[in-house]
Amino acid sequence: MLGVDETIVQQFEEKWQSNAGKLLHINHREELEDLILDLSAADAFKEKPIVVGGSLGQWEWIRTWNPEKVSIWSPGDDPEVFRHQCANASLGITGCAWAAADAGSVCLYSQKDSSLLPSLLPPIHVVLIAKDQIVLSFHEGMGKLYQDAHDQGLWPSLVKIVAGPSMTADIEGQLILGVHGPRDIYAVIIDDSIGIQPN
Amino acid sequence: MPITVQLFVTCLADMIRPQAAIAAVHVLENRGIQVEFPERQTCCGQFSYNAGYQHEAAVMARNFVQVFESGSPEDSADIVALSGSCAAMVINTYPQLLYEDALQQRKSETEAREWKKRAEKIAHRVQEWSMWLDRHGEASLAPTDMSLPVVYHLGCHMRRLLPGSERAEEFLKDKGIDAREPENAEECCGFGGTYSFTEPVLSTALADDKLANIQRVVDDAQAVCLTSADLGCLLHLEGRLRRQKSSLPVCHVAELVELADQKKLTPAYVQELVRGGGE
Amino acid sequence: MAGQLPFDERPWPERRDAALQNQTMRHTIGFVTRRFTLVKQEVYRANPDIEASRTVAVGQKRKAIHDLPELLERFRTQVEEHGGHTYLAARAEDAVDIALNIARTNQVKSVIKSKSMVTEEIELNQAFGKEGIAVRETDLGEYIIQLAHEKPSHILAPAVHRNRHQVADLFQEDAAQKKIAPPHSDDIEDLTRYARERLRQEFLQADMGVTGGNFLVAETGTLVLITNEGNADMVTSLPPVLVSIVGVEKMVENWTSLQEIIQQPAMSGIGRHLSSYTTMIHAPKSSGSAEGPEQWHVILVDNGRMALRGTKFEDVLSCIRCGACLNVCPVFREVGGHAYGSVYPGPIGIVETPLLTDFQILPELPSKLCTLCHACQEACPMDISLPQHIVSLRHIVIKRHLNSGMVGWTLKTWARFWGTASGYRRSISLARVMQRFYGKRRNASGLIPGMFAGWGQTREIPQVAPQTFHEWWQDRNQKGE
Repeated sequence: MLGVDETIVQQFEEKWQSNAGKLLHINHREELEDLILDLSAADAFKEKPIVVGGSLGQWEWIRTWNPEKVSIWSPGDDPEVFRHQCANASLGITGCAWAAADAGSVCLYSQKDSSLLPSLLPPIHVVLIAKDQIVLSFHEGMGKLYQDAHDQGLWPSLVKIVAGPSMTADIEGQLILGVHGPRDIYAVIIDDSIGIQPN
Repeated sequence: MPITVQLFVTCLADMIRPQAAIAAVHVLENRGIQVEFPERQTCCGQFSYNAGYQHEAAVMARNFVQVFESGSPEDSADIVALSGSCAAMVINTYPQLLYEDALQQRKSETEAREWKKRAEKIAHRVQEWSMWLDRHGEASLAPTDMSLPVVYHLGCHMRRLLPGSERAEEFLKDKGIDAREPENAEECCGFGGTYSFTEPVLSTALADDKLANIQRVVDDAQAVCLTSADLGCLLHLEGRLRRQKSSLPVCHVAELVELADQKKLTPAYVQELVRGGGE
Repeated sequence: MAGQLPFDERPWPERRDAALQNQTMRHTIGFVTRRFTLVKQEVYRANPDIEASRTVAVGQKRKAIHDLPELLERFRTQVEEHGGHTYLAARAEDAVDIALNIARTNQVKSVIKSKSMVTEEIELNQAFGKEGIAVRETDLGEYIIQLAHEKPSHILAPAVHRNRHQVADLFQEDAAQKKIAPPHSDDIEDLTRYARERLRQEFLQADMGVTGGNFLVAETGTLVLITNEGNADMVTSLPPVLVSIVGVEKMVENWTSLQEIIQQPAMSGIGRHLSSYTTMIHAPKSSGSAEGPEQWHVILVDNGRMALRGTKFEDVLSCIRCGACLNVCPVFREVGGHAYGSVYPGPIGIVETPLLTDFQILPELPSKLCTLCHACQEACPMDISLPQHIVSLRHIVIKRHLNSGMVGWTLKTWARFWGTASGYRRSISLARVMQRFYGKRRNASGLIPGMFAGWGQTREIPQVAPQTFHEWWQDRNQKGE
């Protein structure tokens, strides 16, 4: 992939981590699979499903992992059923529309083919980011959101920007992670040039 | 030709702590600066203004403008104020206050604007005493090897409304007055002008917080006194200290600068300052 | 038209003394506000370009308030076009009626709410409670004070006046009532986990969600919500009916304005580039989507705001509720939010409470809860002239005779004396006579004229010097020193 500015990626990674987000580097597609299964295999999660926020384009192969365990939102599915799966899930996976380096944030659109629930209900959220989705500034990303809506002639009904795990300092000012949303949030930055494409 | 300044002594220094004003005059004269004192001056009116009595403040403000307009032959001498807060009052508030009050008193628009212009002219000439001194007449002074730790309280109005006031501490350090700000220095001491009378409970709660931080500097750095360019804050804090039976000396910065000039910057002389003033 | 705000019936000294006696609250408030202030300063220092963006945001926000009636129309048209419903509520009670009607029409039994100061303003929870509709606050701090039947003490940290043990007691009691497992310990981590599990079920079962709003975008009909906990995402994603209750002043004109202002609440409030979650609602759920409400209602609340347009207090409507002025205010740090007696505490509360209600409640706020230290002026990212407004409000209070006559008498007399040099001299002689009369007696406050009496309650009274500076100067001139 041409034109990816590594300094922007690096800035995103630093800022994301300073926002208490976690970062995963992978070099091969199998690593991603291992990683996610590892994360969801903790004792408390063993029997619980993994939910995926939508057909992830080039990551469609996630479907092939373990049909019993993985539920992927598709247009036409029953929202009640998917919601129930998300509420019980160990881990949620989504892609993102864009990420901003200066704020260490990712932006997710709720559309027919992509659901936000996997980023909200499970205790762990894994967000897959292609390097070329990272823009320098949040300001720029907001401009992209506006442009996307115009290009598609349609605004996503919900847009969500995530800049770190769910947190609170409501009791004695002490910072605690994982109030209502996920306690752990992993950014998986994927460089297409290292063979993540399906076979 | 020597520089001439006009002294705005402020009501509190005049009535309660004249030795601060006397020291301020000595320090200026010691540097060859000619001091004028327009004797018809009273008070800047800030007490009334901040309490919401704008007309009552305007009465004093008009007196101030008239007094300092006529005080000097060329009307252009700098006016040095013995309080950062009072200086800020004249600079930031007078023009609009006198304009609005003139209209309130059913004067014509022309007359109101005239008052505004007069106030602006005065405002341009006003500076706080130590900041003025820092900008003038210090170059010739030899550096000192004295160093006496003191707690320095930079009042809120001087800190926030007079650009450049962050230099005030350095100015004192240059004279051997090792000015140290307490922790949470930017927090109000609770004086607040009339606030200290009308809401004594909170005013005192704030003073107690401030004094606890001041005491820490006294304990940790052996600071010998509490000083400030603002007597309002100082009298409030001193009143509280005395009620609590503390004998920590409290003095205006001018008094310390005079001691430095006289090479008397020692704990004993600082003690004497306070005894000389209090009785 | 004047708005309505709920208020504490206790007189000021009672509210103040209760606050000063609450050491837990004072300690935590002091800790939290100082930390917020520090991180805010750091984020500004580390990102000097924020300042330019902030200045642009202020200008655009001022213009939006100026054009507010037109922008409200644009916003409403946009939302309706996307399938939402909008309402304009002139007063608090109108907003409540609209919300109740929506709930009744949909046979709502349970409501989940994310944090909203406007719903505190209109006392929504109480009104729903009377209808038999259970409202659950889901922001952790709000949930705590809901269990304690209290009001928020800080707009960002509503339960900052309670320590972990007090919270644990509340949760134990709640668990016993619900017959569920109580929190494992007093540990804040355990307490938070209890709240997560306890509220999760309510999120999934609620019939209706209620949010406030941080920004409204007229051009696109978008509502923006900012939280750190993620509860607003739950509220906007899960229940079938969503009601957003928002002050009209939250409007910005277009997407460009939103881009400039959207980071300000987090930067100025908590010193971060963004809060953890920023949620934008644009329309109700489209068919085939996994989440979002089937109905979306936006209630735009005036409640005294529109009347401030065109007055010198108009800039108050630019407030983005970041909390920066509370965090730097020395008085707020002493007494916390409850002492202010209504919904909005701190410097902005001192100004807004009397203005929104046309001085019908709490006229003492401007004089009793501000030392005019100007820290708020320095902190406000929207350049609201808070200290100047506080002085103006004190003036209005006097004009309307809502203040103490004693202070008025003193300051009028003072001006009569000190407006001239001769009066000034006479007053000094008089002070000396008085001083001789009461001598150096402590607690001589009864003998001191007018408002000066207050000083002596807690502090020694300064003495008029034997020789004033005026006298010294004359003396010196005569001697020809």
